[in-house]
Amino acid sequence: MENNFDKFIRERMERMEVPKDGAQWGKMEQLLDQQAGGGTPDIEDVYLDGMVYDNLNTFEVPYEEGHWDAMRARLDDPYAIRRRVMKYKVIEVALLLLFVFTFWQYLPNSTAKMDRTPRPIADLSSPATTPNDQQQTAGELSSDQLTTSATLERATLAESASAGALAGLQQASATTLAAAGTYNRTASTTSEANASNLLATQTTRSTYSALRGGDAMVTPLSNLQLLSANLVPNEPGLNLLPTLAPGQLLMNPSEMMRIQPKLVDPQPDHLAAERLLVKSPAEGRRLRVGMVFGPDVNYVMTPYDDKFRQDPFNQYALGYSGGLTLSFQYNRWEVETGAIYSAKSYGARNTYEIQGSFFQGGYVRKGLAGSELDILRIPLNVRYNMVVKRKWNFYMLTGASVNMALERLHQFTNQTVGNSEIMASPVPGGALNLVTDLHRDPGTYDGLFEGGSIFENTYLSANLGVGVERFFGGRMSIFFEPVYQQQFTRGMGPQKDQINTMSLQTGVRVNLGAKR
Amino acid sequence: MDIALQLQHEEKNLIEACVNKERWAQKQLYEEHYGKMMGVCLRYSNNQDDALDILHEGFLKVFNHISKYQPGTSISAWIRRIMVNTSIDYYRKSIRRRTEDIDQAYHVSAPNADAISQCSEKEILQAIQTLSPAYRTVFNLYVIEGYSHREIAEQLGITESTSRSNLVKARLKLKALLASNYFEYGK
Repeated sequence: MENNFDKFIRERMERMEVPKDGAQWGKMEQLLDQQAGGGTPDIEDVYLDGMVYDNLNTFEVPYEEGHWDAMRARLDDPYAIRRRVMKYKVIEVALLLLFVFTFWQYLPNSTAKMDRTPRPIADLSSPATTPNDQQQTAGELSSDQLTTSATLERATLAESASAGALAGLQQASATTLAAAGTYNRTASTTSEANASNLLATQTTRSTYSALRGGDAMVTPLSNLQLLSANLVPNEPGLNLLPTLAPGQLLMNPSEMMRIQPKLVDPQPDHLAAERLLVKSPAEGRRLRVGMVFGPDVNYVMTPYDDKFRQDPFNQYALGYSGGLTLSFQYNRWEVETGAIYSAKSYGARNTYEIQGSFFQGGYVRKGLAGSELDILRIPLNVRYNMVVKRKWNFYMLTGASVNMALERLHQFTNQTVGNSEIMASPVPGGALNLVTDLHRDPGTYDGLFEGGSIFENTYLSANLGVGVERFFGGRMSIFFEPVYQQQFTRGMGPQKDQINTMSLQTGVRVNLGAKR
Repeated sequence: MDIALQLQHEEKNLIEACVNKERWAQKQLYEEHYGKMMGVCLRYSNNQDDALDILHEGFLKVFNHISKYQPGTSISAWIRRIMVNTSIDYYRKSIRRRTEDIDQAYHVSAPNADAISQCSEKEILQAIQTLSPAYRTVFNLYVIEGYSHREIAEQLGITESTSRSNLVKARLKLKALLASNYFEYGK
């Protein structure tokens, strides 16, 4: 019985369904939203939101002076990085160039290497030899009546000694080659030593004659080639003395004495020839690279100030400069440019502005105490070598420079002052109403790397100078040149300063390409 | 009228100078808007150092993109918008480093409304700064900036329901904090 009742109830309850009511789901949805936080906030939440909004929407924090410095540092960060990178790169390039140009002159010249391997004498025959040249030279040789009977094998030794000279000279003149060809044909009647010496002497003389004749500037020869061409005994590096040993010469002493002048020229003609071949410092075309450094004497002129009715203020200030130059020389003329860093530091005219008020923390006297400019100078000068000596050169130069202030550092005074001092202020009119902030004068305080404009940071100067240069070796020289730079565009900085500079530059120049 | 025109002219000159990256103009703009913007940044950060970091990051964006500012609109609102966006970026960065104290808010009882009304803006700011970055950011964006949950979700890269949930939890915790301040200082 009891079991049947339970069963009845259970069945009835299991079959029971409540009719669907759409409004109930709305309540459920609202509950779900509230649980998730997305529904309409209750009155307490609305109140909280409103209160927070009212309090914080217009909330302001008092200004703190030091925070701008931090902001400025962050603004300067990209410029600081750029500046550091540029500084390091310039140093890096300068050191690299100095290293390269210093050791450039000690590098072995591949064209100066002499081929010492014996070759068949037939190789010396020159296609450029003309029959007339051959006959003429052969005639000269036969008149010497040389009676030696050297073999061809032995003659190849002499040929190898003169091969370097021939290789170096074969482009010089046809006369040289004719002599070589003649030697080839007469080798059977000459000893190796005589033939080689005679050949070399004639070759060299012919070449020098052609040079004296004057028209062609030949490819410059190395000293080694010149020496091998002369074949002067006892000359180091050639080892030709054994070829002149008496045991190897089939020649009687009288004949030897007679032809002596022809074998070894008593006049050191090769030196004269070298003087001709080597260009003087004022000749030729060449590219030159230099490093320059030196102190500057700056004459800073601050013009009359309309605003404060202050007289012009002039002063001398020391600075320094240094950088790289690149020039192109054409005989006595030279065009020079470069990139030269210049640091100019100087004090400022005492101009103060009074800020603040008696009621707001008192008066503050602000003024410019000094300026330091980091300037990149790009000169374009024309140089003329007035007095040219073998190792010395005196010159004058003139031109213009573009000067760009990369960075400017200005020092300010910031001093609290009393009322009595205010009344005695140098500023006209008592200056009580002058509240101009020096920092807010547009465009006069920042260099190019600090966000300043090119217009505000660039000025032109005219250059005039003289110099003396001392050459060392074939490529390098040191110089000293005082150069005066006259600024001829408007002044820079907050006080529109004009700066004329006398640079006492010292430096090193290196020739690129051929030796001088 | 003349004064308004003059102010408008000065603002135009100032912005042009800022476009030319004149430092004096940048400083002037910074000084003029420092107070309000620092207030914004403080709401989104834990402390003053972080707020200053956000402020300077925001001003860097302002100075770098000031050429995009359209004259005639409110420069203050434009800068504020940049500051809020910078704060959101700050939140995104900070959320990678922190774990959220999600369960923290469940056990807070709702305080008395009278107690909350007595709090000063400084206390409210401190309470907001005590919130976790997620709660704080959602709360600021929703309550003060007036963003919808959808916009918040898009900005922060979360779902709308998360935004809603964080807002509820932020409110709960904020109420508790403000109430505790009230009782602590005997107001």
